[in-house]
Amino acid sequence: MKRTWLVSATAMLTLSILFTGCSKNSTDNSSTVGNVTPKDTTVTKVKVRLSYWNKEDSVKTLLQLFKDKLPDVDVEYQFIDNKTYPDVIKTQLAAGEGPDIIGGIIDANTVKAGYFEDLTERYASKYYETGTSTVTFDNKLYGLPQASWFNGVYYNVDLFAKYNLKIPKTLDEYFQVADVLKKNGIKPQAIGLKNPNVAGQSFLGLALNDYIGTSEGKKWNEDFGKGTAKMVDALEPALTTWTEYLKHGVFTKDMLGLEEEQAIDEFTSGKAAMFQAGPWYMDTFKQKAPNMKIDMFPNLGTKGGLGWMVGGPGVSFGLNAKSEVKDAAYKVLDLLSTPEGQNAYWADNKGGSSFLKGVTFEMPAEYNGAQEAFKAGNVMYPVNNWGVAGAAFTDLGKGIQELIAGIKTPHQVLEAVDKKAAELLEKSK
Amino acid sequence: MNKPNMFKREINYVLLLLPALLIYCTFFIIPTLKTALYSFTNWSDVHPVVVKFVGLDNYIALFKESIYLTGIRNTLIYAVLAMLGQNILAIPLAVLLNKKLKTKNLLRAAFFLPAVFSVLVIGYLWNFMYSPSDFGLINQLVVALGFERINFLGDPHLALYSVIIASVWQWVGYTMVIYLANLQSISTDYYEAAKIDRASGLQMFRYITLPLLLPAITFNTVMGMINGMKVFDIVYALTGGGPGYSTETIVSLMLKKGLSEGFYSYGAAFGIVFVILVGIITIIHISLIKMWERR
Repeated sequence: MKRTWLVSATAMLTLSILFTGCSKNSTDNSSTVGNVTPKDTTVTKVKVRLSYWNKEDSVKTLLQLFKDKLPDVDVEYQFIDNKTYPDVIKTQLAAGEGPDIIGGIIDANTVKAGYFEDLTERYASKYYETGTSTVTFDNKLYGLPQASWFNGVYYNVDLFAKYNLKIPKTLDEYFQVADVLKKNGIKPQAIGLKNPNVAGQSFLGLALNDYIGTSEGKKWNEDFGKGTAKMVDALEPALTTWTEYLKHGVFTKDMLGLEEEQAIDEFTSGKAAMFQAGPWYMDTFKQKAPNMKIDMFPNLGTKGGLGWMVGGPGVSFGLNAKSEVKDAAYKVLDLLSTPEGQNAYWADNKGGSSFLKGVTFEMPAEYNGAQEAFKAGNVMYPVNNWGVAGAAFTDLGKGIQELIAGIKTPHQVLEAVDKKAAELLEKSK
Repeated sequence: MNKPNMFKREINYVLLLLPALLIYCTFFIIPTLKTALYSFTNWSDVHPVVVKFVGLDNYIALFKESIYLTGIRNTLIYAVLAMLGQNILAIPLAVLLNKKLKTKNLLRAAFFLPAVFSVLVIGYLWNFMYSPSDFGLINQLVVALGFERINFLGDPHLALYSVIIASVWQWVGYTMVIYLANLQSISTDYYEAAKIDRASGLQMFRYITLPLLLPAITFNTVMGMINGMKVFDIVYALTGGGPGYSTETIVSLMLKKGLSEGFYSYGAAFGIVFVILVGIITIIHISLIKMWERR
């Protein structure tokens, strides 16, 4: 009998210890009170969690601004790697949790699921529609767009000068440049094709020039997002043209095994003359090769012209509808929506333009070669108009990998993307 | 023994097991049952709360899509080859490191060391070793020997086997340690009797060592298969499922479909199919081992 009571007590104690950690008032509560003692004048700080897929260095100036201007708010930055960012955040949101201010993943599905707060009344009039269009659903604004992002083709100015190379304006001129570089033992373009996103964006650059950037193409792009147009009908010629990169030996099968970081090493060490990317890698280039002179030209097509930059509104920050510290989060978003806030964000993300009315940035010298394309407004990210079919972009990237590997034809790749888009649109009904 | 006494004796054990049982139910049984339930609905990020019953639609869709069959095939290839590779290398390694070598402790530690690291760290390391760029260690050696570069992770026909090699490299030491423990429990009398009968080293290994290693073989092969079927981290670290879909596995597709694309019910259905598949394979595996044991 005594032993039974002892065993029962042990079991109860074990159970109570096990369930202690399940209390709601655990350490990752978003609201904390710091350093408060009787007769203490220390300000009560409210913790606001902000998540984004870029490292903290990319927002350090902004975080410092929050710290300086909002003494009663403690902004806790959460970096989540891009590869897993949507999965991690969506899982948290589905559980009714998640950070208070969330970068990205504001789309038709997440808005429909009620994850994001309506910001129309407070912020819609402050931002340009070109920036807010991708985060506006049923005429309601759910995110605040930050500095636009773009990618073009960085090139090594010294290598181009050494071999008397002119900046190419068409795809044919690009391949002539590539041939000269190859003859001199220089890889024309480093590219980390292991990442399907990189593969997809390489194609988008050409597709924008040859079709999507035209008025017919823009109409097709919208129709594709609605499910009333097929990619195989519109983009097969462009993807067939893209295979010229393989025929000219610019993109090779071994690049399918290359990470982007390794491709950057090839570019910054001078082994490769060109690299397609955007401003987010400029600091990396400067750290690895401080004396390297870099400029950028737009993505090219067969028809010539000013070229196109793949890009659009940058990350949009939205407010978690279930946040317990909305008042404090609004203070953060209010500060972000000022010229000071925009400049603080831009300080670590130079190159793009702000969507906040009345704020302009000076383009750094490294993007001189792309100025004409920017002035003409040739900046677009077609995927932004695909709505719920946007997830098919990964399948496009993977299909292009299979194209490079010789497993699929352009027709098969685009048919598969159409099938995935149809599946995603069907699901959303 | 009468029933009240039996109950008194048994209740102590039940009470001690209760916390573990509750945890097991909370974190495994209930989620598995709920997953099975959701697999028959249209639960997705578009229908996150109000779901409707769709019968076997999700299961039918699974077997219609070639990508899922690719994932199942890749997973089976990975599980079988990784399990065989680890065990075929670990057994002779364990036999060797069971001998009286001066450096045996150092060698045991060296072979076990990779198992200590996170799989993502190992994946990162092998990414650089396999790289087709000038910085890739293996390709530097290959080119120095006069051969063409090998596209380990970029060739769809090679990528999966490259992942398997990295995995076997990481876990062979761990498997070896299990065999070592079993080896040390084998009585030396058998070997002495065999020496008297003038048995060769190979005969001693085949007729004494191998049969008596059966407990370790059972454990290592069964766990190797189960862990192989669940593979995700090393594939994620090395190839991300690419190039294309050539290294996608059951778990990576489950995450892709079920989480990334928001088809939660598809992911649930795939999960249930996965549990059944692993169960069937494990039963077949254990039956084969028992057959061998009886022989």
